Order: sequence, then C-alpha cells, then structure tokens
Amino acid sequence: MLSYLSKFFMDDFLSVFFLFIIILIAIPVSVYSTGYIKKYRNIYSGRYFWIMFGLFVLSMIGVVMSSNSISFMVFWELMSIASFFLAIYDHKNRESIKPGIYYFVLTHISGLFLMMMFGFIYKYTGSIDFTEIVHSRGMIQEPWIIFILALIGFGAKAGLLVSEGSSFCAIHKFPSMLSAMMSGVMLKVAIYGFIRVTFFLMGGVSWESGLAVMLLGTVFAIYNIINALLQNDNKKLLAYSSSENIGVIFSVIGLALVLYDLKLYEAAIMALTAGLFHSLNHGVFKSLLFTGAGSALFATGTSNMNELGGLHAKMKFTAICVFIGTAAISCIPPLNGFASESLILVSFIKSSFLLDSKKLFLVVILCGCVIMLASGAAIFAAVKAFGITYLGKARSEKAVNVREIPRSMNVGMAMLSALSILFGIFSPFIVGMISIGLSESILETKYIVQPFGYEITRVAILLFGIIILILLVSRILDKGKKPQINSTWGCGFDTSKPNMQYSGDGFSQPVARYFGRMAGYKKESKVKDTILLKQKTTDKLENNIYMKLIYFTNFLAVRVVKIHYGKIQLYVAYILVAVILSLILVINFV
Amino acid sequence: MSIIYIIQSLLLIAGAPLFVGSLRRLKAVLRGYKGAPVLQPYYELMKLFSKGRVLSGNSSFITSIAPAIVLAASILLAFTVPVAYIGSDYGLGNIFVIIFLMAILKFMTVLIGLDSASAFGGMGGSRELFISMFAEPIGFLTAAFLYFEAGSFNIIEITYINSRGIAEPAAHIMAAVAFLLWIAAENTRIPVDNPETHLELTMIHEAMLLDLSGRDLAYFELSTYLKLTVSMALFVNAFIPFGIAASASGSFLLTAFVLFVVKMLIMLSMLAVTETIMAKFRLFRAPELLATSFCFALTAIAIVYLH
Repeated sequence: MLSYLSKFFMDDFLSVFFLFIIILIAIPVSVYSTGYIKKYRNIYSGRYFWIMFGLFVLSMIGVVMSSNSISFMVFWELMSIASFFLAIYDHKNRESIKPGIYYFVLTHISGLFLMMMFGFIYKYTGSIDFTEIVHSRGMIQEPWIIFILALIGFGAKAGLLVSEGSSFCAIHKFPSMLSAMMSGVMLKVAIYGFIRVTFFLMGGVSWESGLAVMLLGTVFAIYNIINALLQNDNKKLLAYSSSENIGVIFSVIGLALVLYDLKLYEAAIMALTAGLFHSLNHGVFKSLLFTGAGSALFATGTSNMNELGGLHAKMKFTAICVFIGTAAISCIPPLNGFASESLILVSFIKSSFLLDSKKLFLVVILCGCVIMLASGAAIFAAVKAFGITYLGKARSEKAVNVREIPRSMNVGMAMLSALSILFGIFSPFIVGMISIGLSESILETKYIVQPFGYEITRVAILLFGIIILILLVSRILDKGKKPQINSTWGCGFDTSKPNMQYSGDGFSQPVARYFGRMAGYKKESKVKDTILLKQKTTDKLENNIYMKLIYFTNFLAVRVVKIHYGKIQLYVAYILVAVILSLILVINFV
Repeated sequence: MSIIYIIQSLLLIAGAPLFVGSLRRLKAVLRGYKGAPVLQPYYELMKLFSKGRVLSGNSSFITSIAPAIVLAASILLAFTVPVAYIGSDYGLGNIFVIIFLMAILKFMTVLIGLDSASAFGGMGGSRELFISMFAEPIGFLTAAFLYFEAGSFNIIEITYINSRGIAEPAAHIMAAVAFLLWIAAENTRIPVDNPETHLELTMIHEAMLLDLSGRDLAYFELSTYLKLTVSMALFVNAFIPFGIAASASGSFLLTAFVLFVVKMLIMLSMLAVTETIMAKFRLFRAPELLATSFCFALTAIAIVYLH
C-alpha cells in the first residue's frame, strides 16, 4: 500500500522540508485567523473562508508532494485559485478587488510559463514523472530554454521579478492572514519549484545561468529593500521586504548553481543550505510581522504608520511579539534571521575564495557586499516599521481608540515568536540536518555544513545568562528607589505634541535623499497659508516596464478585436480560410 | 575556556572606562587645556548608579529591558575578543557573531531613541541607521579579507595565524585603514559623528540617550565605552597581533600584556590626534568617506586573492 502511494508522492528531502515549512507556519496562522476573522463576522461567511483556507494549504502541500508534472500543475493552479478567492474575501471593499484580479492574471502568466517548461521537459525526456525525468535528464538539449521558462514562471510567482508591493502582486491589500500565508509560505513553494527543476530535474544548469540568477536576485534585493524603506504603510513595507528576502534567497541559490556547475560540491551544498534555511526563517519571521501588522490594522483600522504610534501601551503582547520579529529580521543574534543571514554571507565569502576565475570572484564578492548593504537597509526598514508604529506617542485618534485583540490572535503570534527564537538558538542542528539531507539527495554523499560550530547556541545561552544576571543586579540597585515618571525632555520646550515626533517619512529621509530615485521618490512643498509637504513613491519597475507591456498588449488587443465583426457569414469565411490554411500546412509539412 | 582567558576579558571590561578617560585626557592636553582626571568615567558611572531613575511617561517595555540587553551584549563582546593570551579553545569569537553582536547595541539604542517620543531620538536613530547601513559592506569585506588571510572566521585563530607573519603587507595595511574607518562609523566617532557635543547638528549617538537617567544611562555609557575598547582590541588583534602569547607561561603573558597596552595606547593617541585635527563630516558626506573605505577594502581583497 505504502509503496503504491509513494509512486504518487515525492518523499525525498526537499519535498519533506517544504512540507515541514508549510505545516509549521499554517498552524499558527490558522490559530491567528480564528481571531482575525471576527473582523468580518457580520459581513462575510466564515465557512467560505475556512474552506478556501484549507484548500489553499492542501494545494500547497500537493504542489510540494506531487511526483509528476501534471499533478504539479494541477495543484499549482488550485493554489492560485484558492489564494485568489481568499484575496477577494473582502470583496465589498472595492480596493481589494483590483489587486486580486491583477494577482489572478499574474499567477496565470506564471502558470503558462511553467506549462511550457514542463512541455519542453517532456519533449526531450518523454516523461512526466519526476524520478523518470531524473534518469533521462541527459537527453535534455537546449537546457537554457527550460531554465529561462523556470526562472520567469517561478520568479514571477515568488515575487522576484514582480515586487510583492507593486500593484500586480499587492499582497498588502489582501486580508492579513492571507498576506502572512502568501509571504511566508506560498513564495517558498515557488522557490521549491525552482530548486526542484534546476537542481533535481535538470541536474544543474550552466554557470552562466547560475550567475544570472545570482545577479538578478541581488539587484532585486537592493531594489526592493529601498522601496520597502520608503513606504509608510506597514503592510506594504513588509510586502516589499518579502521580495527583498526572496531576492537574497534566489541570489544564494544562483551561487549554488554556479558552484554546482563548477564542481565545487561542498560549497554548493552550503549555499543551497543557506538558501533553504533562510526560506524557513523568512517564512517564520515574515508571517510573524504580517500577523503583527494585521493586529495593528485590526485594532486601529489603519496600517499607515504616520497615523499610529504608541500602540505598545494598549497592545503590549502584540508589541513584544512584533519586537521579536523585528529583531529576527534585523539579524540580531541569537534569533533565526541572524542564523541564516550569516550563513548566506559566510557562503558567499567561502565560495568566492574557491573560485579560479578572477571575474567570477569579483562578482561573487560584490554580490555579497550588496546583500550586506541590503541587510543594513533591512534593519532600517524593520526598525522604522516597529518603532514608528508601536513606540512613542499616538499620532492620531485611531491609535488611541484601540479595539481589543482576541486572544487567539495573540496565541498565533506567540507561537511564531517562539519558533523565531528556537530556530535561532538551535540553528546549528537544523543547518546540519538540512545539509545532510540535501547532500544525500543531490550528491549521494554526506556533507555537514557547520560554519559556526555550536557558537550561536553558546552565545544565546551566555547572552541570556548575562541579561538575567544584570536584571538581578538592577533589582538590587533599584531597591528602595522608585522610578520617577516625567514627561519627555524637550530642550526646555514643554508643550510637546505627538506630531513633533519623527514620522515614518522623516525617519527614512536620509535614504530617500540618497536612493530616492530607485523608488521614484518625489517631494513637493507648497507655501500658502501653511507649508504643505507632499511626498510619494512609485514603483519604477511597474511603471516603466510592466505597465508598458500591458499598454502594448491592450493596443494589440484593440487591433485584433476588429476582426470580430459580429456577422455569422464572416465567421464562416474565417473557418473556410482556416481549413484551407491547415490543409496546406498538413500537405506541405507532414 | 581557560581561567587566563576569562581574567583578561574581565580586565578589558574593567579597563574600558579608563581607556575612554585617557582618551579624553589626551585630547584635552592636545587642545591645550588640562582636562578631567583619567579616572573621571568611573566617577561618572558611580554618580549615575547612585542617582534615581527618571522615566519618560511615553516609555515602553523597551526602556525597561534595553539597558540590560545592551550591557549584556557588550560584556559578551568583551569575552569574544582576545587580549594578550590565545587559548586553544575556539568556542567563541566568530567575526560575524562579533559584528552582529555590535548590531544589537545599535538596534536597541535606536529603539530607545524612538521610545521616548522625542524628536531628537528619532533623528539620532535615523542617522545612526543611515550611516551603519553604509558601514555594513565594509564589515563584510573585512571579514572576507581576514578569512582570505587566515582561512578562518574565528578571531582567535586569525590572531594566532597573523601573529606568525603576514603574507601581503600592502593589502594588510589597506584593509587596516578600511577597518579603522569602519570602527569610526560603528562607534560614531569623528569623522562621522562628534561624541562630545549635545547639539542637534552633530549628534547621532547622544541624541538617542537624551531621556535616560540613573542606572539606565550608566549601563548605556558603560556599553559605549566597552564597544569602543572592544573595537580597538579587535583591530589590534586582527591587524597588529605580533607578540601575543600563545602559551600560558608567565614571561610570555607579561610581554604580551605590556605589548597590548602599548598598542592600545598607540591606537588611543592616533584616535586623539585625528579627533583633534579633524572636524566632523556632514551627514550626507559620511557615505563618501565610507565609500573610500570600501574601495580600500576591495583593493586589499583583490591583492590577497591575486597572490
């Protein structure tokens, strides 16, 4: 029975690992959803949501477990459709319909490319079964076509080519638990697909292709994090930041492809391990941050950080969870973000040292530098999102009249925070497990990647020990002295107002000045009765490339539609012409 | 970890305020006035410890935990860096762990700045993150350089291998210059920030701590001293480690310790001279300085790779 079933399911390490990610994150997010859904209680059906949510999770599990390309595509489409129906769950709000439809189109374009890709694979290997393709992969000619199709198909879905924050894939406009699921899990399913096709089905690609992935990932990482940094909408910031992390993951996978083609297997396994571990960690802390942004939205009705502030007072538990998530995404040891980010950086350094080609060496080192720069900007963005929203004073009425958060939402977030801490402290064990699993399934040898030994665990224990010690000493020092509560010091200026604090715009102003062009940043100031300052950012990529593509397609469609004249005689004539043409083709070419 | 290793780290922690005190004294002498006694930082800390705390009404849990976290991170930092003796146990001291432990200090300080709802704190935090964002790639390149030189990410191993001799002196010096600028940026010293003033035009680090008092401020001050001292010790051990004791024999230890103190004094006078003769860069010119440092580091790496 089991052996019969295993024909339909992949049970190698890669599938099991991604199955683990999906289940691990789906559980806390569904706990969170039981509370969040109360926001829509009187408007929409809860049963509809749970059916779609279940379908979404099951279809993702189906994608990572399917063992042939047909079932892969079926589950892939099911995943797209389920997520689309969840995306337009809040359909009475007109704002969420348009991004939902854009997303639906985008995901089908991605599906189209994947179908073509599997078609090409079938053409060369004559098989749809993954294990059979692996055996006959030597017959694949022109692998670059398959590679490009995979890059476009999976890259578009993963948010590499199309930023998550742009209007084509506006996950920040979807219900928060869906944003968390999509950013945390669904993007990882696309990464699974990319690794499955390039590493397993094709057995590696040429190093030029790998280099292209690495450069693409790096460029998109820095582009997206600058865009994230200049946003004032909490969820939009997180959406862009998801794309940044996907860029980093793709970059390190590209590095692994380069190394794999150059036969530097141990370094390749290390880079791939870093990519997989970062996928897991990003899934955990990003869904934590998205659920946190969702809680703030639930409680106040807005996710614009310039209207929030001071939420720590009324949402203390949420604030603490988001603080952990922020620390994790900012690579603060010993949390999980640090564990995988440092592994990525180490694998860039170690592999660059092994390369013989001077040009390649320089490219790899510079990519590492850009990723480090992006990680610096990621700290900036994360601190901005947390600090402006939760700390300080309330900036508007909305942040004062806070709605109570259901306990289940807090439970979901607490689970994710705990995972964030655990995956950081016990990262050496997890990294070791991933590298053994990968090297056994790809190379059939055993490599254990452990660049830090157990240092992170040791640092964590020491750090917590010293913190507890200091807190005890502080308690002794504070004995008999009560802290005096006073208003914030304003340099002798006593009537401080909430809008005198730094705003989100102000906080990222230095970066806007340096990199504003990358995010289409524009500032306008008018002096009339008062000084009015307007700032806005636009997604350059969206406006300059994708929108033009859409206009072009529209233009063509308008031309083509003219042949639909509406007369039945004309259509009969079309049929006649088509039949004659196909007859000529058949006679000439068969 | 051997006892000597722990003792030297404790000495480093105890000596950090002394280091900052002598720096201040030397700067004062260079500028032609007498200056406060060398032990002044200890007096300041003692005064702060004895004072009560005044908290801002807007402050959150961040203000209650951040001082402890920051101090703990900086104490741990002191244990990751060797001083005069390198044992055989390489349990701590990965460069990336050191770099990101320093990031804890930065992260918590910026949050403290935002916590009190004051405009100064936000400004300081924004500037600090802006500068440190540009400093990150230099940290990465320095780690890469040291890995290329010594084949390890562990600072103790790097110290040991570099103390045996250096293959590429030119590259070594270039990387050292780059790393010094990184230290200036990370510790918000002059050319990047002036740590002495409390004027809003110049302040980055001080701006974030305006609303702290009593023991909270003392923790932060101590951790600032520690961060500077540890950065200097890191530089001394990574780039000029000659004479460090690899075995625990008394005479070796003594010379190594004396050498360390001398090296630190040299660093200190270099710092004092720079801070006396130079003015702070404008905020938006600081990235240019860091870009220069980046170029130095990249050249150094290229030289090491080619040989």
